[in-house]
Amino acid sequence: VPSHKNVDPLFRGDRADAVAMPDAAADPSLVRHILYRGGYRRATPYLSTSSSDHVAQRFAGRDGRVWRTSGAAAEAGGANHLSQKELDTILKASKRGRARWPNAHERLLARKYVELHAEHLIDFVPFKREVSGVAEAVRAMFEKA
Amino acid sequence: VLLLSCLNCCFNGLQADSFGAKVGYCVEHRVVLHAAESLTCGRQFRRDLLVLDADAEAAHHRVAFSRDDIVVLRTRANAKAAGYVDGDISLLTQNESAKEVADYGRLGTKIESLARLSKIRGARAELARLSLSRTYVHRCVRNGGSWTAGIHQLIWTIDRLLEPPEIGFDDLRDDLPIPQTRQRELAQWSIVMLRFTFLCDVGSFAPKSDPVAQLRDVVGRAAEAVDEIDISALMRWVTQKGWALANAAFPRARYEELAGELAQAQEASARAMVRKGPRKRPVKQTTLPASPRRSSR
Repeated sequence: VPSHKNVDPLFRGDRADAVAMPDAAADPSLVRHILYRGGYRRATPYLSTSSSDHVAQRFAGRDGRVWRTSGAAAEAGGANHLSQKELDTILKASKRGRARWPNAHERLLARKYVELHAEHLIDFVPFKREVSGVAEAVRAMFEKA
Repeated sequence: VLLLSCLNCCFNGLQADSFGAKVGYCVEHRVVLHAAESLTCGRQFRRDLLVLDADAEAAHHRVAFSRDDIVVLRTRANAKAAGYVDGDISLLTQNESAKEVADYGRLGTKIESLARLSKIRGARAELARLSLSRTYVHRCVRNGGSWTAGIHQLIWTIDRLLEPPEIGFDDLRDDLPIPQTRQRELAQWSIVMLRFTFLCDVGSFAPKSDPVAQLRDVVGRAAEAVDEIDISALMRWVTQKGWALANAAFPRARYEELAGELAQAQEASARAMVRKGPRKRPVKQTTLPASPRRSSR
């Protein structure tokens, strides 16, 4: 994990036909996103990815597909890249802003999932004032793996 | 969406996020799950969350998915028609705890199945017992029962608190991007937290005035005290604080008293049934002999 570079590939298991669309204006809580709170297809400003294609394959399931991007590609497209290391640091050290969450157990659970899934987030909050650009950015930054 | 799948559902007692059997088994639909991470239904009850949060997520899930059929999460295709589930349990009969899960509630009562699971060593049996105990007590309480439906599972869980979960390397399921020793630590941490999650569930169902209600924040206290995913540190906290806390909330003497009362109530109910004929709804079985005490201090 410490060796992961911004240009290294990141993989996402998703539908076979397209990557899910984030909602830049949705609740930016990291724990809420990582624990998948709020029900199926809840709005989230993040797209989860993994540095492991095996993990992404697991998320894709038998009817989905693995998509590929990188931290550098995400940033070139106007999004932020929150690496696994950054995520763990934020969830461990900060209890404010997007890391705020009232439940200590669920904060730890989120850290466990980040580690287990080698999770990196692509953060679309920078598109909050220009949400119309999200779809094009997602299409540009992900390709079929 | 892995967390919304059958992999993270208490009704599938055979698998967790990183360990367990290669196939799952749903005790609600009575089918073998060949791709649990891709499947779901409207009955999903999340294993990773405390009961009130799991209930809130279940309400969301019921809106999106039917309770009647297991489907492929992304496509909503019927899982049986797609060949992802079937009723052939022959695969499960090779493993003692998997066989118990497949027989859950079929041979005798569910509480008897849980009692048998409590006597099987290893993390797979414990995962199954804790997962199914959560659904058992939850359903009893939702159907108008009391937290005391969980007294046996509660004492079995407290008796195990001082034992580090036994996870063999063949219990680790996946080719995950972390060393297997770390994967095993994460699995052990998950089982210990699941023990506390069950204690929290029962504590949440008890009235606030009951000492058992002190258990409702025990998982949060563990997480605040050991703010790392470190099984050694967590077990130290259990030894120094957690075990005593659980025993103070539900001492063995209280268990024996309640178990005796429940046994008497059940005997009286059975006698009444003999005199009056069968009732429309039989009283739920909640009594059975206590399992041997595993640990003591």
